[in-house]
Amino acid sequence: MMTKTQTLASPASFGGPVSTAGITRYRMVAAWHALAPVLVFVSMLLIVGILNANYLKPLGISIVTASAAPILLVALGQAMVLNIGSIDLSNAAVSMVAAILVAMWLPAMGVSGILLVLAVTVAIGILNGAIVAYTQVPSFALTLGTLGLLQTAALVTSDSQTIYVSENRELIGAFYSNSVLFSPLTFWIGVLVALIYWAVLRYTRLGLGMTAIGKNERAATLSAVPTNRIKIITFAISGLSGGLAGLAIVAQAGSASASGLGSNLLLPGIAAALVGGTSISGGQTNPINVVFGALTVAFVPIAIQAMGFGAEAQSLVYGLFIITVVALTTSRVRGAVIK
Amino acid sequence: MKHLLSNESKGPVGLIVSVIVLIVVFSFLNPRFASVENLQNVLFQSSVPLIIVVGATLVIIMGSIDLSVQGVMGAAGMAWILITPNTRTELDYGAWAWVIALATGVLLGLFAGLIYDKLKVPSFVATLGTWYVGLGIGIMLYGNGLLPSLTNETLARWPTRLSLGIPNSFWLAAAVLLLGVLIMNYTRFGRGLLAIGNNEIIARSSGIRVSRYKILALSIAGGLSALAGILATMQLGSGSSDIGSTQLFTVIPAAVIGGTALSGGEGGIMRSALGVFLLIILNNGLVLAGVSPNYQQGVFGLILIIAVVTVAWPHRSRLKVAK
Amino acid sequence: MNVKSLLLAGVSASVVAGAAFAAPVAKEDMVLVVSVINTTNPYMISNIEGGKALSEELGIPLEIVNSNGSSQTEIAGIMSILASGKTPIMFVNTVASSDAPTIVDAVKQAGGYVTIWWNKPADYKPQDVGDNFVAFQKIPGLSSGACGAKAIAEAIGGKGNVVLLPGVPDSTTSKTRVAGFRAEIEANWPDITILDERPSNWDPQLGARNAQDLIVKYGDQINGVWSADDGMQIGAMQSFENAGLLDKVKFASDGLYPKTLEDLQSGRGNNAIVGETFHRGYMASAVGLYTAYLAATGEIVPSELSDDKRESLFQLSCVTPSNYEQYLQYDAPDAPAAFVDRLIANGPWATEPMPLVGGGAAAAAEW
Repeated sequence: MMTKTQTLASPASFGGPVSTAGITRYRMVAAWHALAPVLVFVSMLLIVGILNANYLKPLGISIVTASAAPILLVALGQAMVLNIGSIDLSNAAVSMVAAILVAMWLPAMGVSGILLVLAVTVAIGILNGAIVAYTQVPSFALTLGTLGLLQTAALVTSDSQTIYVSENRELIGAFYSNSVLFSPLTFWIGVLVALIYWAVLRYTRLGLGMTAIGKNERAATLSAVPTNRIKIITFAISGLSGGLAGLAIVAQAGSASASGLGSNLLLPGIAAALVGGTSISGGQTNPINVVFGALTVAFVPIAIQAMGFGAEAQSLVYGLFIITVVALTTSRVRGAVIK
Repeated sequence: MKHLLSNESKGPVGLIVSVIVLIVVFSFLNPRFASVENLQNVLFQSSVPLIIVVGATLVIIMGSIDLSVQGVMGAAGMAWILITPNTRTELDYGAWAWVIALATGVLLGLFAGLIYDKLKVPSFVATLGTWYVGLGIGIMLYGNGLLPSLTNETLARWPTRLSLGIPNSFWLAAAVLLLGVLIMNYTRFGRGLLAIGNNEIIARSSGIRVSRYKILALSIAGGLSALAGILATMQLGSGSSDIGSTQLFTVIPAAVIGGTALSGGEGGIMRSALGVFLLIILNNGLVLAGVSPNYQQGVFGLILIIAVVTVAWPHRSRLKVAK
Repeated sequence: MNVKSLLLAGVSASVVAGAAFAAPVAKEDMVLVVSVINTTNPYMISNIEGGKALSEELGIPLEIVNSNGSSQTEIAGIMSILASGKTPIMFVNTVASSDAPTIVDAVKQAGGYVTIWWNKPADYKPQDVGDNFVAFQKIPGLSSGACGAKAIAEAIGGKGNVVLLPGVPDSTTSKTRVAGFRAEIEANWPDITILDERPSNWDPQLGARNAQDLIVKYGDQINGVWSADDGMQIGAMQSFENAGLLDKVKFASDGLYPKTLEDLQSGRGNNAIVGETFHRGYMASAVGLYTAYLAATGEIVPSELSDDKRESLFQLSCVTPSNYEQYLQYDAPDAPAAFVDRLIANGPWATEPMPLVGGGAAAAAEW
């Protein structure tokens, strides 16, 4: 942040010398912001580890990463959409529909069933993105509507029953039962996806365009960034991530239902994206930090249990936790408008 | 004709027309829909969401959002019933029960407001956290004792009793609506909220006390959620920490359908109220028409999408920024 | 067969043999766990009471998992306890049938012992999983529905219209109770019509709202209301009272919750409640926990138990306004402790008022 005296003293230096104190402070803020999610997660781990070292053993690690996997995938899609300044309230419902479709089609179609489901989720994302881009409807309202439609789709396709995967379960179960470093493959798929998204944001024109739209859409449009196309692609990415999350759910549960596992990933997903340092007004996200955000959100119930809070206090503590953790990791640019 | 379709009148006119169309269609599908009994039923069911939507509109107009509704309802509802004659405790604080319960809501709203304004945490997260905090308070108040049911007959009957042919609970909601309209249109606070929602930086520079108004708006919303919690508890006849379930996803879409933009700076209390009526009538009509509950969410979603697309269509422009 | 495959066969046989005879667990290493769907439903509160009573009697600490209606939270909570290092002895009230395999797999990994109550996938058998899945236990749903059907049918003179309020549509408990109700009506009461069915997810509020809508839809055509559990019935009765119809309609449900018992005793609404079923949460949790505990100490070996002790049906009592008095003793403040005393003396399958009445694969799925 430039110090006021400096800029006033040198009117001709539009973009001229800036105080070193200002640069250092800016670097510190940026560094804190990049590291905060990791630090928060590690400190939670340490506190819990001190209370009961058993939680840090292989079983504990596999439990955290297994429950973090679907949250992570949903959060990654959400982070990409938050990055362009929109929000996707339907991507958790997409994962539920995907889980149900996979459970229904896997026995008959095997691997092609999985691919078909992913194609469906991408199509839903494209639809969301197209409506947002071309009718210029606020994404909150539109995706809230899509959420309702998808919930009905989930109930109707599953007939309000649980769909159990009757055959070919190993095709998808393998992602859950095989582990690397005590963590199931579903989690590592999430990490891989995070790395890919990070690379896209950093090194491709597409990714830079996304961040530009998030920071200042009007300027981006005027700079010939193809905003409509990028918006559609971003929502498609969110749909794809939701589909992958659905796969993770079926891998873990061996079944899918509109009211069972995976039916409330929306709020944890958003929380994980925010804890991972994603700005809710757009233009800032780091998918790799979202991994730590998801781990943190998945770890909170474990931490609550470890700290001995009673069953009744869980909600209360969860609320305070979320506020504290986001307060620590959210970006605070002075003078910016916080919505 | 052009004037009818122009921007300004599009909102409320379109809304009123939709409500009328729905009423006609549903009466056709099931004649009982248009009965006086059903009309009273609709008014009764709209009372709680109407009270909440006033607070929600104030918060949305200033460009934020309040997700804490369900938690505050639970906390305040439980607080109220435990100190009003009920089957679990012998306490009777009379009017103080109302004061304490409403204060709980205001304090929770204040909590959210302070976190939002002082700690610079986005309202989404601040109110999300407050939701869980409120819910937690409600659960802890419930403890593991007996179900607290109202023993005072007059109180339990009050919401359904008719005065001038309209349920009392609706009179309460109407009073709150009136209060909301007065605040929005006739106080500096109300106009200030619009300014903040429109452009916060300019509002701050024009001397509007942005911080104070933000905290005040969230506190008022908390108090109104508490009032809604008390009313819902009276309607059910017993206490529950979940008394607010499904309200959030009724109230926010209702405000949006009513034309209150989520980016702030636009909208009105009466329009949000129309949105609430639309959704309650829709729900009620679907039940009476025998539609399976599975389709309810889908129909809501479809109507919401059609409503917002219709409103946004005439405003399209290459340089418009819609988030 | 060559040497290699013989060797493999031998190794795997000994692994299997080793797994089948897991070492008994010492008391100091145990932790009792009760997992409930929420802490505000009287049945769930009673589950917790049963866990506490058993924990005091056996001297083993108790942990409670509150799933708040979410499978996600349930599994995360259970997993957190599994990660804590002690051997869990668990009673689980699953949020959804589909949660059972995930929970059981996790408990097996942690070397714990679990009894699942009420809901599990039909073809997921304890015998296929191993000793860690000690038992699946429930109270028959078909007879619960039939009891309610008979009570309402008799009370309205064998002729009239009824509406139903099932629980969560996906739940086996709700499905079997509804099936029991419908079967009884179809078999014995041809002049009774079932007008409508509106699932209310075990929620009193939703029960109240749906009842309200049904009243508007059918008005005074409704002669009887059956709810799959008392929670929803409490909400429904409120709506009928608000509409001034409470003394013209008969109600039946499942659970005999404290509030319902009160209404039954006071004859609220011209004796509106005509049928209930009696079972208590503390009995279910105590029996479930104790069964798992016996398996952990090695006193019983699950793989050697008969089929009806792996998938069990426990006695359901059908209650009417004329015979409810005999059940009041089970709500005395020391009733859970008294039940636990009887339980330890007689074993999990022979303790009044909830002895084992049946079970085995096919029966448990249908009942």
